[in-house]
Amino acid sequence: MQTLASKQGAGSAEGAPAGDRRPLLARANVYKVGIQVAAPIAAMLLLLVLWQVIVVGGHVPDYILPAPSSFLPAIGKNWSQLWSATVITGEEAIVGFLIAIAFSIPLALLLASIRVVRDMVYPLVVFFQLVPKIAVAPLLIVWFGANKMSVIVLTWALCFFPILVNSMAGFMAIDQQQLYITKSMGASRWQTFRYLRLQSALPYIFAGLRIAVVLAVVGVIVGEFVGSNAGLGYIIEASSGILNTSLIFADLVVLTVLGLVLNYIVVGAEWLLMPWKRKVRRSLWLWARTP
Amino acid sequence: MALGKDTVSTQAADRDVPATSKSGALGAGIEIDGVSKRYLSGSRWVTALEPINLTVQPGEFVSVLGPSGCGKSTLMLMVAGLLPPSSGRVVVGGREVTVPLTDVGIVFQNHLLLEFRTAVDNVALQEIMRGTPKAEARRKAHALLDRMGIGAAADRYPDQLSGGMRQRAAIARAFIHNPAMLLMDEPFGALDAISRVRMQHQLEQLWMDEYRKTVLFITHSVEEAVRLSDRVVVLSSGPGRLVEDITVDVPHPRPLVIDEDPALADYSRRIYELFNRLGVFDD
Repeated sequence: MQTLASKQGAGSAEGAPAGDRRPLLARANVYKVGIQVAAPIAAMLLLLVLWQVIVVGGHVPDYILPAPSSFLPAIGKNWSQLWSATVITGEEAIVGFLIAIAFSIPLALLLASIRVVRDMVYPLVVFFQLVPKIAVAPLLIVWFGANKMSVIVLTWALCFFPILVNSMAGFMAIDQQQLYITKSMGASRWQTFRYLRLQSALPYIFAGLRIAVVLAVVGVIVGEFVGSNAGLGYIIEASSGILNTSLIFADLVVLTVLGLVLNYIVVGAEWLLMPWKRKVRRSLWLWARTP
Repeated sequence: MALGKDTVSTQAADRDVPATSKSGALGAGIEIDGVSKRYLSGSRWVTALEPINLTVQPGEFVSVLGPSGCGKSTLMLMVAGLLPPSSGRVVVGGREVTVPLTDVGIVFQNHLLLEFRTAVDNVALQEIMRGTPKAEARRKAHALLDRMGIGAAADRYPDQLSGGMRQRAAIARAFIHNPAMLLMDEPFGALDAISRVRMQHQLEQLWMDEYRKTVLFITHSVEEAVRLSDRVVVLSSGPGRLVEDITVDVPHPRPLVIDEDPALADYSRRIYELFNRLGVFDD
């Protein structure tokens, strides 16, 4: 026993990843992180330069395709308008997204736990998902009026399904032998949920959330197109009517950044709630990628 | 069958066993009485295990040895009350098993540690589920992992442990609560040969020093069965049935490798001969 213990202490490196054969430089973390940040930025800059050259060289009119030199300054010029729109759009997206979470996760648990309920309700949910939600937007205006409410409901409708389906898969994906072990511990139903099912489901739930957060932005914009007089979607709609293409592009840039921020909020929550996954995925850039 | 094992049995009976043992166990004995298992595969019934009779004395280390498909894992699940037998009954610690046993520690080939808990928290969970306060459970788990030589890795997640370390944590989890018996299904089956020898040695030490209670150990390794157990119960496959019950009359601790002890090597040779006669090695 004693000798075993000391032997074990000496071999404590056995948990380290084995057989990394790449050159030293490629293994260095600084190099890796650096390349992962620098490469996409370089590609983006290259694209912008190319864009500028083509638009200016090809004499493309500003109302068709504005050059970066035209729409990037437009962000600054219209900043107060864009910022207040961002606040409105962001709030609608977050509220719709949160309501979807509050609906989908408990429902997923219910469907996963009780077979009869699953057999009854799940086909309805799938049917609901097959209705193109965006086509329902005008109906929402009829029901809720041209206001925030319809935008939020549309966002909720888009986010609802991916969160539900993934959470359900998560709550149901439990190894049979794992359940055996848990039973042998004398775990109650509640303990099994608290200590096993909930955390086992988290990676699945977050897979759903990462899909849904992208859809939330889509939902908000479409909602604002159809029935709103404020927000980033409304600005696009209004600008297109007066051919202010530069403002549309400026708006799109801001909108993309908003989407990125929302995405990072989900990624951050994932990082906080799943500490055991932190070491596995090494780069933030990969983290931000949505399926 | 278990003749000549009086020493071990007596020792086990003398040991103080928690009076609160849920299955009413005195380091529980196991009676397997005409137990068989059939299951429906498509539209036809397949016999996984023909009726088996087997008695395991309290404190005995019994290996169930057999080729794959002999129903040895099925037998273990039935003993644990996790799978109902098609016929016969299992009696553990004097009571017929009808619901999953809880005064038991189970180890499978797959470590089955929860990926979202650190090694120490995985081990502590066994105690937490049984109502031990978290801090106390963690303290016990830390102490046990220290004794098993992986104290330094206690705060790592399973992903960050080697195969041998994971299996050690799984074993710690199976007996931190001092259960009436250990049920182990190929616990070292996924390990490399060296870790395997090391783990066998450690299990023997643990069993001798800390936990001299009933162990039902499922394996397909002849050497492992002979190396560790007081008795080797040999099953044959297609369908599974009990063909031999061999008492390994060599005292513990035993050498790391069975070749070092002529008696152990002889048991091993006898079992291989038996397998050969049964046609286990034929195509």
